[in-house]
Amino acid sequence: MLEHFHVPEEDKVFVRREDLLKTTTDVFLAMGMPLEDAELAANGLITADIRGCETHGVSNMLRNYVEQFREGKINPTPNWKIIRETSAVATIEADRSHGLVMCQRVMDIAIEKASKVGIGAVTIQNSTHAGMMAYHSMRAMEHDMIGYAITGGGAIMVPTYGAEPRLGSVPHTWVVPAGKMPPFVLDISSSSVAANKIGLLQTHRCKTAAGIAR
Amino acid sequence: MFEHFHVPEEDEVRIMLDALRKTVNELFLKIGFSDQDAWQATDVLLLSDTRVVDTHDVSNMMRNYIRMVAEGFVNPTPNWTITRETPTTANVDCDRGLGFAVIPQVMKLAIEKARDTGIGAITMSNGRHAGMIAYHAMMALPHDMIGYAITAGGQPMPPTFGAEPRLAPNPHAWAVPTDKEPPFVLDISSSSLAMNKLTLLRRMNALTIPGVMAESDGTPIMDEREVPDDAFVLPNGGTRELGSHKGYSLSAVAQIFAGILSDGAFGPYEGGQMSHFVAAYSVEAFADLHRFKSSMDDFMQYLADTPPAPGHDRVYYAGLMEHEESIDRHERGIPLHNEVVEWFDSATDEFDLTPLER
Repeated sequence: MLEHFHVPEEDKVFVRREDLLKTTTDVFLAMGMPLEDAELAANGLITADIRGCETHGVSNMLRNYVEQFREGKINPTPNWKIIRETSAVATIEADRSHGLVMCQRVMDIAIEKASKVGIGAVTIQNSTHAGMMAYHSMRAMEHDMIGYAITGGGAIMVPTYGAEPRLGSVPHTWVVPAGKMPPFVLDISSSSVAANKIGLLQTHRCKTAAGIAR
Repeated sequence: MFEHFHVPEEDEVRIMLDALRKTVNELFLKIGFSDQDAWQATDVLLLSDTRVVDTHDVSNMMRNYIRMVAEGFVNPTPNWTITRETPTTANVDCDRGLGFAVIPQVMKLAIEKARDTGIGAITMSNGRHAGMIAYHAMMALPHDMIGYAITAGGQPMPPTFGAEPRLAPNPHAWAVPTDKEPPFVLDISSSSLAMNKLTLLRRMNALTIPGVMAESDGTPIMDEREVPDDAFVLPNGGTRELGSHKGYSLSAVAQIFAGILSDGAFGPYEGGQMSHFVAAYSVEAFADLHRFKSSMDDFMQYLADTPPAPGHDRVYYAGLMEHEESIDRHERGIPLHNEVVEWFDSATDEFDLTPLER
């Protein structure tokens, strides 16, 4: 990340990974998620923090999720189902699942399809915020597969020449296994700056950077 | 395209599509292409011309292809073969065939796979220039499929923060069917500027555009000046602050899918070697086709109907501008630069063909 998105030195509090994971899991449990789902969701947030992707870690996101559970926007015990399927693809109705959990489960379906026919690709409807997308594509790596994940939704970004937001700054992520080198992990928003970074800038009381916001 | 890439009015010669098609096809036959490959290669070049992708049309590219065949870099009669295959995937050795003669045949195979399983994706090694890759992605449209195409190879572009070129401005193209609206067709290089546009700028004696190219030590050129001979193109975004790491990494993704996945190719050209990747996604496998296409219409309208920002008349979506311009070019012909028409005359003379009709 660019320097001005980092937490200023004087405001830093270091927290151990295990402690952060435990408390975050407890928060998800308190929201009514089953243990396994709570752990998947907490692990997704902490993975973002560990990788320095603070826009999608506990700082920005956990309080939003709590709010969305309370407002009933996220269903902690969804009854999701496959509504269309071929050997290589499927479509899922997510029943307002937490995206962080849903995408992990669905990536497993895609991985299973890829191991049988070469490729698996699954679309998900009626889901919620997916967290750091790289978390989901990274799941393919353990299986020596290339992972790809997208999330879409919202309208916070203007089209070129446009005066009104009509698109989300939605990210694409690709993860490719390597031999001894760290893997290739790309997770990029389609905006100049991740929308969450504007939140970070506000939290850290930074100034706008030229050419990225209007 | 930006205004300064267009042929200046006074240098423009309008050539009708059929005339251009005839001469280009004859040239491909003369350099040894089969009837089928000559037709196919001509069809790709002509679609670039009608869709105003002038960087990849006859003006910029035709003379290069003739030279590449003469020098033995391009095999005019490739015997491409499938070297690996599953129900959804394949890997193809292109046998040094010109990309835009071979890739459409491979895309047909991907479409067949998608019809059977929902998806088809094929990597291609040992290929040559792919032409306008949107053509290959667009082949999926009549089959109610989403098409995706990549080509990769060479290294005129430095990575973000780098002082030496290590990647090409490898493009990605997606084509998505609609019902009544023009289809969504996106074809973007991962650089700020298609490599070929540097050639165009030089031919037109135009100035640099700030933030799209770098000096030979990697420093972004942020002013307007004569295009230096040793300029690099910068990754899309231009500077890190404006997201050049995204363009840089999209180029790497293209290299991985086309090059590394097909046979491990990256780095400098070996005789113009390029790798390709195509994929077809059957809409019906994921969703109700009728509903999808009508939703696509609604979405395209939603984007095009965005109120314009001050100083602009309207908002486009990918493929809309090209669609509208192609209607005009079908009627009025292709605007070629004088210099290009002169080149055609010298080539038809050299190959003993009837001159380009105008």
